[in-house]
Amino acid sequence: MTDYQVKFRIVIFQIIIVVVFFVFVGQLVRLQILEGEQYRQLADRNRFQTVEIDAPRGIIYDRNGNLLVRNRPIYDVTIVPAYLPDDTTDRAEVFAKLADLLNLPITNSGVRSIPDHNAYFRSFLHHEYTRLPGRQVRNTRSRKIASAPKGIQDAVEDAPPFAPYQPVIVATDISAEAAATIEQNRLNFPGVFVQTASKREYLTGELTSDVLGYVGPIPPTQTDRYPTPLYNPNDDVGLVGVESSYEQALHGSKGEELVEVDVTGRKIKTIGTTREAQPGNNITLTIDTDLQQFATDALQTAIDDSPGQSGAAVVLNAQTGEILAMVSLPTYDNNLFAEGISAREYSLLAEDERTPLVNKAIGGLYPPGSTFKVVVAAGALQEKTVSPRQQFVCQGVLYLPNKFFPDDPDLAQPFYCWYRKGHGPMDVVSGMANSCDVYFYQVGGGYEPSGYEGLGLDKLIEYSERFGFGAPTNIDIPGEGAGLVPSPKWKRLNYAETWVTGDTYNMSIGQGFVLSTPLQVANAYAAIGNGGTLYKPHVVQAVRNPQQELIYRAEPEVLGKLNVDAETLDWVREGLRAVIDWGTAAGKIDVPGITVAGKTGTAEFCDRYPQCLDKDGRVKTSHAWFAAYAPAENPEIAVVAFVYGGGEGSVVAAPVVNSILRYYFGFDRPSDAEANSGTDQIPSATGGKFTARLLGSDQFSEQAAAVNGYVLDATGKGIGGVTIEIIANDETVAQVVTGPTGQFDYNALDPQLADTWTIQLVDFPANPIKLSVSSSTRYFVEFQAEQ
Amino acid sequence: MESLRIWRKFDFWLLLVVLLLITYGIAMIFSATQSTEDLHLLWRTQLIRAGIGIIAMLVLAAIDYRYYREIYHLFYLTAIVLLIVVLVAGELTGGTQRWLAGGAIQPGEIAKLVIIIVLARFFAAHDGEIGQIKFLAQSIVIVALPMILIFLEPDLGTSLIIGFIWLVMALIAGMRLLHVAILGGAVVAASPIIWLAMKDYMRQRIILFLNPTGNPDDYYNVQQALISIGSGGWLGKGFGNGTQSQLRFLRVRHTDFIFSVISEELGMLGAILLILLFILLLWRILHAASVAGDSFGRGICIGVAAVIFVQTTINIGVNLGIMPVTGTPLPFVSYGGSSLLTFLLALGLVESVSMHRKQLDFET
Repeated sequence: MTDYQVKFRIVIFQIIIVVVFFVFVGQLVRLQILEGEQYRQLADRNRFQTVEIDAPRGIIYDRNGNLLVRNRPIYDVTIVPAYLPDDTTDRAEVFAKLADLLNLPITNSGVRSIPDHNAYFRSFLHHEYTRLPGRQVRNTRSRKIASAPKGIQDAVEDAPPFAPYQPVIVATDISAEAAATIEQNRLNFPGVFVQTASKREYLTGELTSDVLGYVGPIPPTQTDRYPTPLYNPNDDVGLVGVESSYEQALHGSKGEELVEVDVTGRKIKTIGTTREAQPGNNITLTIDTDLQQFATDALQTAIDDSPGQSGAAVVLNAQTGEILAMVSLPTYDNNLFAEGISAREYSLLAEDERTPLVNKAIGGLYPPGSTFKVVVAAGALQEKTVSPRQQFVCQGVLYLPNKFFPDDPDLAQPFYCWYRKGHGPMDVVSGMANSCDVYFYQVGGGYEPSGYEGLGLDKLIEYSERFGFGAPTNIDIPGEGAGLVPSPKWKRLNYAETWVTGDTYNMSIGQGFVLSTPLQVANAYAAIGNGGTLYKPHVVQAVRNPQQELIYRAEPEVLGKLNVDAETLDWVREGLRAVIDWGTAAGKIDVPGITVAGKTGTAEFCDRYPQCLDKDGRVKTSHAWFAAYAPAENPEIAVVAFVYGGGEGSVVAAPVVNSILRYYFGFDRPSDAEANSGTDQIPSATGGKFTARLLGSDQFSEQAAAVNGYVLDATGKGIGGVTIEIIANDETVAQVVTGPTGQFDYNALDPQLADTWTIQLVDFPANPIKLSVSSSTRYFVEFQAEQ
Repeated sequence: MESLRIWRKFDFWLLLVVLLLITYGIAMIFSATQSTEDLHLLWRTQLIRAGIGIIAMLVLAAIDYRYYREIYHLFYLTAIVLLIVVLVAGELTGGTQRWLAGGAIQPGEIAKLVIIIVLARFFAAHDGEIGQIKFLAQSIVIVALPMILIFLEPDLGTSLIIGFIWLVMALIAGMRLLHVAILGGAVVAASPIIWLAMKDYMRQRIILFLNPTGNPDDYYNVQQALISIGSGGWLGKGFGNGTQSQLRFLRVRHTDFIFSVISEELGMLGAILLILLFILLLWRILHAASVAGDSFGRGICIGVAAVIFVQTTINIGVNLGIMPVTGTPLPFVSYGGSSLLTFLLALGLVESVSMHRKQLDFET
């Protein structure tokens, strides 16, 4: 080889090098210039995702502005299977560490085959296709978690195949510490994410659960009611109570933001908000929580001290239909449902014969007993089938002659008065005052032997309906019963028997077939008291949007008119006054300075034959009723108390109503001094030590930061009247005092003023909370007394 | 005096180009890893290794390359022994093994250097005789032994690179084009046997080449590399601002796909700059070959040019989606101590050739 030849070959080599590199430049031109736009779009598709911004559900207050429900921020742990390590051992290590941290099993099944090694690779086949932008599923909080924690590995393996980017919830509502541990050790937890969500927390729990209801996952049968643009399949929706009937108002509309994510799907930064989240509207109830508490205690005492097993009480504004208190006992804690109730807990509640899950004030159907007599009296007076002074003699029993052998006294059917010795001559006022059954048998059903026709069945039915019986009141919470006003046709269809005079007799004293809810009784008495108007009862007073602008205020809505003359009503009202003054409830009602009108009711029932019969074969079990309104002249409120199987209305139910009335009119209240002493008692009750906790934070729209928190006693109950100091740079900027539920908030933490803010209890500065404040952030804190 | 005087013939241009390439690489390693917590200090490691490597290169440059002509047997034997040891150790641990002493020694990398020296010695000894099939066959035997051993590790990529080194050196040493054609025909004829001898993953690599959607993992990597490069445009997204690399959509970005990082962040301008640096580097090496004092020195330079060229081509080709994925680092630029050291030593040999050329003029 000559030198020349070699150099020639080197030149050839150089040419090849240049050619190859020119090919590269050509490819660069193609990729970067000719197809550049397309690749830029692909790069953007990689890094941008639209994610939903949660819209907080509306908050519910009582009529005095006490917070009843809040949204507590919670942390959920999710796993995105695609981001887990490829290696089975590494993956198992992640599961093990997570299981240890969260105290969850790795797997629940005994022996499990090792997952197909290729599963992860298979998932990559769908890399481009399953990563749907904008479908970052937030939350599939499984309600089953509470009863049987699913193993972490099981949860991941049970996830839908071919969707490796869909987060799988492995744990919900973990502690803030655990969430922080995961966030700080991201590298040790590849594929594991902490998501913030919120959970409904019912601060008043059992006290208001029958009114508020609760939220839960969308029932599979009702997916149509919650269409997807507005609802995410993982959303919680109101299922019972106000949460359900005002679902549309409470449910906000989700926002959407564009975020930049890294390859593991973690949000790096927010690019912009494409749709603002619209928080749900806030609701103010007509319920007075303090009255509700008092009524609950009074009713509970009555149930405890009587053979009764359950009961209900309703307090409503007689002039508007606003419900001030609505009690149904026993009840349930709606927090159980909000947290995810276990199957066992649920069946305990559902199978309890005292029906804790039923709001008995609106959904319980009971014979109204003597409280029903007002209908008969009003009807008969209005139809002039009886005159106010017309007397009937009560001998303790009324014999209804046999239809076919009217002359044979042995075949006559006896209808007893509750007072066997007989009341003697009774007119409408004394008849009501004494609740004389014999009077009402005749006024309602007539008496053939004397040729008196009475009001008659048709009119009795008509007046029952005018007073609101037999039809729902359309109260604004679900679960209401219509009650029953029987008719001959109804009896023929249900019993295949004809209607007899005896049935009319029974109905005239609120027995037999007639059924009503405590709310219907309360509403009827409110109408009698207010001069003849039936209002639609309601529990929601106002709805305000998040900017606190009023968007709905409940106005009194007329449900119907009694359509009886004022004179007639005056007689009925006089009868009801007499009940209190010298009748069946004499001495039972004591509200100084306030005149009260009311009616006792003792409705016999027999649900356990024959235990409910006494030795004479008479029914000995009865429901205790008392219905009243006050002040009698122009009533503010109507009150009904009902105790199932409680016994005598005057003995068991009247004291409940008495307690409620006394409370309402300002008696028996803890004095202001006592109320304040609640604050002073904190040191003795708690030893003066409080644990301070930062529960979490979320973003909100204001520029400044905010702090929102609770002061709780050792049992977790809020303490009102506690002063909290907000300190910036060793200088007290503000003091706030907790409300009755122990809540406080302060919305003007200015990050410009100081980086670190201190939140502490004025009287117990030992354990302050230090906050590093950044703008537009709301911090949730909690002070809890140590035992 | 003598030892100082020879540094005058040291090719400072070559050193400058290499320093630029290494600096470029370290900067891009820094950018590619800064968003990854456990990798973000790798640029420092690379910097230290580059320092060590450059010292080794200078030392090697000072040593007269002609000494190797006498002890090439020893080099060859050592390389073969190391390859056998790594193979046996690999058998023992039951997996693929390409390195010894915890990664410090990669016999495959050493073999590249040794083969260059041994072939340069062989072609120099048989200058003008390579046209004869006998000597060509001998050179094939020399190169086939390490190739097979490396192939068995298994490391198809390095094995092919060694084959390519031989091909370039043989061609420039005077191999006839007819023989190239015959050899090509033989390879095609033997391909079914080679196919059967291959490990599964090697077959998959080849299948993947023919059908790029076959291995989703590789497909993903290449796909992301193309997105990175394509989205870079004329001037790129700016240093440290590449969304594909900073958000880690691009994988193995500080090693095999560093070219994509450059193209994304610095655009076509940065990529062409890099390519120009490589052209400059290869031009200096081939210039050293042209002016080399003897055919042994020239052979060394051509071998080094060949190995740098083939690895650069494969790496950039993979990044640009016009070559099958082989996991070959980009010389001087990719993160990786062993590769960097090998190439700096190779340049040390080239510098040695250019520094010691004039003496030859006086001696002969």
